[in-house]
Amino acid sequence: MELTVEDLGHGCCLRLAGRLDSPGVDVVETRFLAAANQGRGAVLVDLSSVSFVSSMGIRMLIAAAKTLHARNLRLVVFGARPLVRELFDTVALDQILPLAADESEALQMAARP
Amino acid sequence: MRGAGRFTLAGADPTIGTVNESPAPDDDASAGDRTVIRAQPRAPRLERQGWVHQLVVVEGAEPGRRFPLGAEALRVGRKPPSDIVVAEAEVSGRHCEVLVEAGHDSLVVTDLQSTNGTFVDGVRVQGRARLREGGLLQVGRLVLRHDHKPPQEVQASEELDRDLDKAGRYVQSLLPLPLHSGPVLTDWVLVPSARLGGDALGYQALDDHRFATWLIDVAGHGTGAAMHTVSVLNVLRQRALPGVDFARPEQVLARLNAMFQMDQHGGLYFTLWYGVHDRRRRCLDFACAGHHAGYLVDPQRQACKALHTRNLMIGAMPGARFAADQVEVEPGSRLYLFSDGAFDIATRDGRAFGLQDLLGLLLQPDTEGVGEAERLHRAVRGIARPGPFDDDFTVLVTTYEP
Repeated sequence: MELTVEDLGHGCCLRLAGRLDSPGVDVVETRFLAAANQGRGAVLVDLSSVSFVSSMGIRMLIAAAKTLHARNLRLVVFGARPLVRELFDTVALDQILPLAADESEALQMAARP
Repeated sequence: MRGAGRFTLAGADPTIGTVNESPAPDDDASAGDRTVIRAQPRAPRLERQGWVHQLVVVEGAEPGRRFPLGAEALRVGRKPPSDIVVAEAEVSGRHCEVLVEAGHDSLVVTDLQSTNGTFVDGVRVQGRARLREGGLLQVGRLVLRHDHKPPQEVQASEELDRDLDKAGRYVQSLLPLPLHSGPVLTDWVLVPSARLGGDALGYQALDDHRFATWLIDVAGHGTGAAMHTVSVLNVLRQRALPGVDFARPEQVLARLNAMFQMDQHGGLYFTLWYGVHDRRRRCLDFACAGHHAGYLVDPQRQACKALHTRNLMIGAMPGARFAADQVEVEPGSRLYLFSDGAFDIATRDGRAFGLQDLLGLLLQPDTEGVGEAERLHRAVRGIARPGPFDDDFTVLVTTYEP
């Protein structure tokens, strides 16, 4: 599991790569949550290079979204592959955080008041 | 044993190279002592004196059981005098031997020309093979892991094992016994991936014609997840949700969500499938919270119908709304509930096994003398790679008798 943090000026984009399962979450969680809470803007999460997401992966995304939400900020997930997208749909994840198809849609969603 | 369990610095012999004539910058020159520089610096070799080799049962009759290795070879076979007896038809009488090789951290496995083979890390042993530390040895359906530890660590891990066993037995004791007679039959298999899992299941008659069934999957596994599972399980078992009609799945989910918000429960959430069968009305009311569908299979085993409602998992968001649905149930139908650990499986050949593969197994015929849940467990086990499952494996089968 790899994490690349990209500064977007007011916010940031966190790009994940690999399997976001229990071992994967163990590797990136601390850095992921720290990076998500560092900025003063929205956080985009790029899942286009993530092949699998387990319940622990979803938990990490929800935890980050909740902390940001408490600061009136938004976390937008984009680029989920079909199988991951299907899982997000099953667990109704869109009810708790916005899901975008690609980066440009994610940027638009993040900018919405 | 001298030096037992301690690292011995075997390379600490004073093979001195040259003496640095000018004092090193960090030296106190007045003290007169100087840093001795090795001609060829080399890392000290760590000798693991007194360390214990063990084979630990990862999969088989007694998971967690440890077999220490001594000077003699450890024999594995179907019958005594084997040290590890595997009572399976496909295991040869004398199947293989495992031996400690002096000066090596790995073990040597010798296949004794067994009919069906000995496997080390998934590869069939041709004659002899090395079993590295942490490697897996498979004989029939028995899977053993090679542990190599200092004695005090072995003792500590044995104590921890005993504690985890007790905790595991407690969780198991909260699960209901299978029902083999009556209007509703149940049958289940729950195999935690760690000593303690995050999966649980339950069922109970609400009155003479309504029967509730549920399956819980707490995110993650291990002690934290298991403790959360226990509190949720006890609430459902005792029906300790004030003002809730347990025949109404959406009410049960909403109340549990209010009670188990992840912010107040160590950041843990859980998914749940909950359904109530009504024999008089021949229907099933159900709701999922972040859980995949349950599947209803007709008595002729022609098709399986997905029973799913799209709701968030329990604990993710305060005030979340939960929708329920209803389906007609033909008498003799079976309801299959399972955790995602039953289909997110890494296979022997690296092929992806998923939900559709598991659904294909549901429509296959019963195996004589084997419970339906166990039939599915064996089928998945046969496809999965050796070693413990990555996640808890849970299947609950409920049959609504005509």
